[in-house]
Order: sequence, then C-alpha cells, then structure tokens
Amino acid sequence: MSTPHGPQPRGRSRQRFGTTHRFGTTQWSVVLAAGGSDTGIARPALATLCEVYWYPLYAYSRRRGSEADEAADLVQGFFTELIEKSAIAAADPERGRFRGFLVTSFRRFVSRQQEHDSAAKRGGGVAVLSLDFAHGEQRYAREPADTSTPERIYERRWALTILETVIVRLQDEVVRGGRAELFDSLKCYLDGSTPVPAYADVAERLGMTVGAVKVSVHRLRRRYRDLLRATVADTLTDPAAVDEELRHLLEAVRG
Amino acid sequence: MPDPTPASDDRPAGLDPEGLLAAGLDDASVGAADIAEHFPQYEIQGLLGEGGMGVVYRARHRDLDRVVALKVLPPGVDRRPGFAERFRREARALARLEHPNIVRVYDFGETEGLYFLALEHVDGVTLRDLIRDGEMEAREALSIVPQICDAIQYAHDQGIVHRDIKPENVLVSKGGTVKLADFGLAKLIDPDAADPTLTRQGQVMGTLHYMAPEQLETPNDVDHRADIYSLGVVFYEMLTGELPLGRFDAPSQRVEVDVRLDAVVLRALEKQRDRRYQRAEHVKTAVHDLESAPAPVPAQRRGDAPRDSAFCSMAAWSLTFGLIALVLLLASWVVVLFDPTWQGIGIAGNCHLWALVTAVIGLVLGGVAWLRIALGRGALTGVRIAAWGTLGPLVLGPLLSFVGHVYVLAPAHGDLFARAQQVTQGQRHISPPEGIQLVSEVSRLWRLGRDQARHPADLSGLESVYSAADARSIRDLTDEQRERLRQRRDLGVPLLDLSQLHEPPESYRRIHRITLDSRGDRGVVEILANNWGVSFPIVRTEHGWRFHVGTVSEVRIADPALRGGGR
Repeated sequence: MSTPHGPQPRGRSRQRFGTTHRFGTTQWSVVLAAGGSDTGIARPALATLCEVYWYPLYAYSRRRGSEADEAADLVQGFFTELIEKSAIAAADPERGRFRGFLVTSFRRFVSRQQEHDSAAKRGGGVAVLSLDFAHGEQRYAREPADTSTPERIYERRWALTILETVIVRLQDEVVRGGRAELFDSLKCYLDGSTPVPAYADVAERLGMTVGAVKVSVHRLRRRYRDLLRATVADTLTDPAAVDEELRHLLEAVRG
Repeated sequence: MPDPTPASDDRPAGLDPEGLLAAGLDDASVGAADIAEHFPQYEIQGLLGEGGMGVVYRARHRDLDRVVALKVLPPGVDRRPGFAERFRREARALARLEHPNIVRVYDFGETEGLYFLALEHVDGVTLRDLIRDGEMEAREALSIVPQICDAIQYAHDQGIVHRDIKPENVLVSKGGTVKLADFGLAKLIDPDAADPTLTRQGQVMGTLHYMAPEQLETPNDVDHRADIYSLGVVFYEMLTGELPLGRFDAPSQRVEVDVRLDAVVLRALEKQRDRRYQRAEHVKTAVHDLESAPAPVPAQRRGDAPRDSAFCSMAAWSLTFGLIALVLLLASWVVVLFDPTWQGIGIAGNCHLWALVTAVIGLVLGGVAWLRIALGRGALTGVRIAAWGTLGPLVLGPLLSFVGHVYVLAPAHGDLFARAQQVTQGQRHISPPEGIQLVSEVSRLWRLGRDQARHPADLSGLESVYSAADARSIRDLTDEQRERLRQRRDLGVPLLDLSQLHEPPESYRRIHRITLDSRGDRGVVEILANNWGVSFPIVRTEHGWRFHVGTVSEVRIADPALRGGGR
C-alpha cells in the first residue's frame, strides 16, 4: 500500500553559521573543516559544542572514579587544550560523530595526564569555558547508582542533554512568541507516549478552538522535530546520518 | 546550560525521552535493513512506501510463494493500553473483508514488539499518482467512484468504517481495478485522536481535508457517513484537481463536466451528515443514473477555464482571417466597379489572391478548433466563434467570389475585350480568350514602358517614347525629340496635344483601342489619358504579344528598325 513519502527533511545550508539561526548548519563539520586552523568560525563553534555537551563528559569522568574536583579539572583542562590548541587529530576514526570524538579524545587526554602525572598542569591554563561544575556535581549526585558503565552513562547523558537543549530552545521560541501557557499545555503531545488530555479539554482551557489546538500541536511537533534533527546534525559531519544517530541515542536511553 | 526541570533529570520537561527521540526519526519506524530479521518467513524485496500508518515493504512469503505488501505499524503504537487486544480484534475483522475492491488482509500479528499486516500486493499506482499526473477525464473518475462505493458499502455492511479515505489509500491496479486500502487502521492506531495521521509530520493538513466535519468536531461520534463525505472530497478532487475548500465552486463551474454531477458531488459533501447520501451505494446509483440518461448540453462555464483559452484564441483567429478574406473580396469588387480597367482588374486580382490565402488560414484554424470540439475539449463560446470563423471563408467566401466574378469582373473584362475587338483595319475577330490574353499582355507592356520612362536618362531614342506614356517624361523631351515624334505618322496615332500636357492624372488611363490587321497578329494599341494619348505597334509572336520590334526586353534597347520607320 504505497503511500507517498512524507516531507523530506528540510535542506540545511552548511554556510549559515553565525547567522541569527544557529541551527542552520552542522557545527561539527565546520570545526572539522577548519582542520585546526583558526578560521574565526571553527573555534567559537567548538566552544559552543563543548558548552552544551560538557556534562555527559563530566558524568563519564566521575563514573570512571574521579573525584568531583578532579573530574572538573580534567574536563576543563581537556576543553582548554582542545579549543586553545585546536588539537583535533586528523586521522581520528571517530571524527564523523562529535559524541564519539569527544569521549575518545577525553580518554586519551586523561591517560596522557596520568602518564606525565602533571597534576600541576591540570587547570593550570586559563579556563576557556565557564562551566558550572557545582551544578554538575549536584546533578551527578542524582544519577542512578546502578552499575552503568562510564560509557553507558556518557551516552545516556548525551542523549538527554540533546533533548533538554532542544526543549529549552523550543520553549524559548514559543515563549518569545508570547505563548508560554501554550507550550506548557501542549508539550505533553511531543513524545507520543505520555498520557495526554483530550484536545477539547485543552482547547477549553486555552480558550481556543479544537482545530486551532490541533494545528498548534502539529506545528509544535514539526518545529520540535526540526530542532531535534538540527541539533543532532550539529554533532555530525554527515547530516544524512541523523536517523542513525537518533536510533543509537534511542538505544542509549532505553539501556 | 539551564536545566528546564532539575527535579527529573531523566525526563526532559517531564517527557519520555524515548518518545522524544523517536519523534525525531525520519520514518518513525524500523528501517528496511532491520525488518528482515523480524520476519524470517518473508523475503523482504523492497520498500513500497511509508506514511502515518507505518512502513510498507514488498515481501514474498517463502512457503506460499506469494508476494504481499507487508505493513509494519509504527513502533510504539502499543504504548497505549489495550492496543494488542484491539489490534487483534480489528485485524480479524479486516481479514474477514473479502471484496474485489478491497485490499485483502492475508495475515497479521506481532513479532518482537512490531505489529504487522500482510496485505494483498496491488501492482499499480495510487489515485494520488493519477491525480498528480494531470487532469483526469471525467469518465475516468466516473469509472473509479462506483468501485470505491462498492468497497465502502461492503465494508459498511460488515460494520467497518474506513475513516481515512483519501487518494493515497485508493489503489488502481494496472488492469484498472480499484482497491481500497487501510480500512479501519486510522481508528486502530490512534483511537483517541480525531486526526489519525498526526504521528506523521507534514501529512496532517493534507489528510484533514478529506475528513468529514464531524470527524474533527466530535471524533467519538463518527459513523459510516464520514466515509461518504471523504468519498465526496476524493470525487471532487478527481474532477477538478482541487480540494473543496471554503466556499468552493460546483465542479461544472470549474471544469466542463456534466452539470448533473454537481448535485451528486455536493450532496456527498454536505456538512450535515443527515443531508448526505446515507449509503455509499446511493452514490453509485446516482452516478449510474447519470451515465445511462442522455447527457444535457454541457454547462457553460463561468468564464472559460484557462485550458480553453488557446482554443478560444484559435477560433477567434479563424474568425479574424475569415473576416479579412471577406473584406478583401468586397474590396476587389469596389475596385473593379470604380476602375474597370486592366489596372483595376490587377488590383482586384491581388485582392482575390490574398482573400484566398487568408481564407485558407482561417479554414485551417477553424478546422483545428472544430477538431477540439469533436474531442470534447471545446467550450461553447469557442464553438460559436469557430462556427463563424469557418462559415465566413467556407460559405460566404466562395459565394461572394462567384457573384463578384459573374457580375463585376466578367463585365469589366468583357469591356476591355470589346475595346480590343474594335478591329478597324482588318475584319478578323479574335476569340475571347485570345482577347483577354492580349489585354493582359498590353497592360504588362504598359507597366514596363512606364517603369522605364521613370528614368528619363534612358530616353536615348524615340523608340522608347512609344512606351513612355508617363506624361512627365514626355514633357521632358527635347524639342528635337518631340519634332521627330510628330513626324512618326506611320504609327497611326501620334501624340495628341503634346504641347499642352501639364500634370495629367496618373491614375486614370485606359486602353482606348486596339486595332488589329486582317490576320489578327499585329496592330496598334492606343492608350488614352484625360487629354493625351499614345499609340504603339504590337505584334503577336509564338511567345505572345510583343512590341512590334520584338521581345519586351528589347524595349530597353534602342532598336534601329523602329528608328528607321518600322516595318
């Protein structure tokens, strides 16, 4: 029963970085394309990525046995080296995914640090990122104390970080449009599994027609989907691999 | 980054992360590569399509060697409580549907969390493809609709409402058989929501348009009449290529279809379901009644649709050319009536020639227009225009031309011929054809002579003067030339009142007389203007009438024979 194909994902311009809309490009490809040289675009892009995804790395480090201070130092030191020295290994097999690249590079960084045992160097450089490690530690304290491996907690946190980022951005957009209440009422329709109120009830509560609620839900879902896919694409060199990455993340949160 | 909901790190904004991630997947379903391992009994041969109802693969049942369309419902459909039970119940009911116009359900079930249906594989296209490919002929739509009616009626009799009839769900096999797919799946997959395809981004708006108003307003109170509304939308779209949105026009106002179809389509599209057809078979009956009863004159559209503008302009051009041909014919009469000379006849002849050309063009254009009418693509306005356009050159043209020849041109010719017949020196009469040939030849000589006389420098000898009837050139002769001209008595008629010539009207010239000798093969032509005239000898040769000195081309050359006093 052939049905026509759904709408194709919107084409993403790779050249729109730095415009008002951050999601128009794959940031990771921008970073890699620079090949370590400072193009004025690559470094801020890498910094932005690190700012978003530092917590999974922190959780990974903690789960590996580092104390809070040590983990914070390692993460900060790693980012400093990464951003300041643009130390991106050209032949890194994990280059296609920022997720894989980050954790692999971090592992190498940590082992290098341990070899030289140069604790004095850790954090010795000027911190290039302002990261709230105190808050991070609070969060880590809430992580389930199960037997998850560092890798699993890293991946799970990565997936959740993406979702949190996307939802905050989506909420920002809606609230900026003056519809804060709308987002709160309609967000439950986003995941397709949370029990949802009938459209009619929502419509009554918001003083809208049922049709208008449906259209709003539809728009919210579409925008959410676009943001999610764009955010995931930002961590990939190949935007076409978004589905694959999403399935991987789906596995990660299931685990 | 700020944490939206610090209290629940595992549930962003209190939502299920699995569902959130799955919502971002391109197909929200399992990929083709993954599917094969779940269905060892099938050989997955390829992807047929995907939509809100899941993904459809072309698959071959290994044991039965039967090609099926394997429909895998979106993962997660079973998140709602009681889904498994409902799926079994509904699928069982669907499997009982056995109708030539309904896609068969061969098998269904659940394997490792994936719900699937093995459906009859239809080798063909969807109605959406047909509509997208271009304008559907009304009779094509009229052959499809009854089959949909049959399918719906049968299902309704079994207590099953489709709920999602749209062109995507209507399959047309290569043999032209219509098969309705996805019966009842809309309700199965999302029983609470009025809109079953919200699971699929982007399709919601398209699908909403096929839904009956009550499906949107009171989704829990929907009966089989919702299908009849959807059928009406599909019917309308097939006929017009557009959706019946807002205050839409009746089909016959948009395209040229039987005006009686309007009532059928509009009744199916009634907002109040009590006012619709109550049974699908009633729609079919209405369509059949239409086809069996003689069709009335096609309704005139409110303005011609764009597709007919080419036709109309073609018919209009046909009419224009026809009119031009008529005007030219009339002009040729007028010319001859007021100037019954060889010159007038020449102009009239040109008019006739052009009338003929334009009439032929008009005829071709009119013919094409008529052909389009014959193929059922013409509008009534166009018919009228084409009728006039072809009637003009076809009927009036030859008629007027005939009248003109008999009553105007023939007498005019006859007059000239009669003048040519004034044989004074000899008594031999020449036949009318010969006479007409003589007249036309003389007029040709006249033109030649006149053209030559426009160049006074060429008047090197008197001999040219004979053909140089242009008054100005004669006046410009030297006294010596004039004197020599006067002495040419042997030519019969010398120049008349040559000295008094001033500005004789160029336009009024006529052959005054042609005098032939007894053998009828040589003579003298006298040409008169208002107050002057000229005469010159002519001779008949095997090539026709010539100046007496020889061929026409020799006129340009000063001829010693003529100078020497002629023959």
